[in-house]
Amino acid sequence: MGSAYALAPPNAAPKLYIYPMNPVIPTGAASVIIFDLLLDSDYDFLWDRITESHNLPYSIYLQDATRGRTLMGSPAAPIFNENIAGPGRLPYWLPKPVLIPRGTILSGTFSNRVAGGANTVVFSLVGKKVSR
Amino acid sequence: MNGQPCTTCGGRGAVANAATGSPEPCPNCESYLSGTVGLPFWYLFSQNPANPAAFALTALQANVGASVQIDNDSDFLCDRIIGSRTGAYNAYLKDNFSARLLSPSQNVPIADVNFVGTAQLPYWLPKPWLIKRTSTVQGFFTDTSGAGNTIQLILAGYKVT
Repeated sequence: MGSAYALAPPNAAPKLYIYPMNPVIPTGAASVIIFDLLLDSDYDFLWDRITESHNLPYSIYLQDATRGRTLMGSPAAPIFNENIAGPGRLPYWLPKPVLIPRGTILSGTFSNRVAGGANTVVFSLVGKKVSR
Repeated sequence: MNGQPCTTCGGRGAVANAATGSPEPCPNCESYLSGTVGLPFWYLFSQNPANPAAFALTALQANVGASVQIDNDSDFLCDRIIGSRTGAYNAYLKDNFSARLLSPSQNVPIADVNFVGTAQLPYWLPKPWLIKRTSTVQGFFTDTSGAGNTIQLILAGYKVT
């Protein structure tokens, strides 16, 4: 019966949770901004998809700052936004859900790919909180 | 992964340093973010795998080599191909570990629209493709757009041991 509900009862881990990284990349074709995301300390996070929205195309380089582990080959090779995430209706599903310990800091380096105004990006890690 | 949490870290992937109390990777298990099992990863084709970056073709430039080199820490299970570009191109891929070609002939390269998708709608491989650590996948790219072409081609999947 419980699995039919999108949200858990009060005081239980949320069945749906979204951690947004919402940097505003300054104007300029190669502007860069680093955004650090601190995961809540109440529960671990089971990450299963990525969604995003933006004003202008950008690149992203993701790493786990807590453990110094990268998710991509090199900072010199950030991934284009269209190759790592989609909108909510067509997200990028991770091949396997990833369990991220509570309190982890994920760091994203966002860079503009074209000139234009300030680029408001919302890059979201979607999943659910879990208790173990 | 036998479904049982690690007895050292309780499945958390990290333990407290006995001297300082600071978190550090669990020495006993390979759970996510202390090891590499299941770590999602994106490998880019690049003309210089040691320093990967999106590469560019000039108009109608033919058979430009670019490759992916898998990290030494884990094998890689590729389950989809993703990419974007500024113009159409053809590609011919070869698994250098097995010397196996991924299409019949370099004379008949495959158009990018026939084997590459985006993050939203990736090209799913019929079976995940296990690529051994440190091995390379070589690609030869030919521009068919008649204009400069910046390409980012990615093997997406996750690391396995």
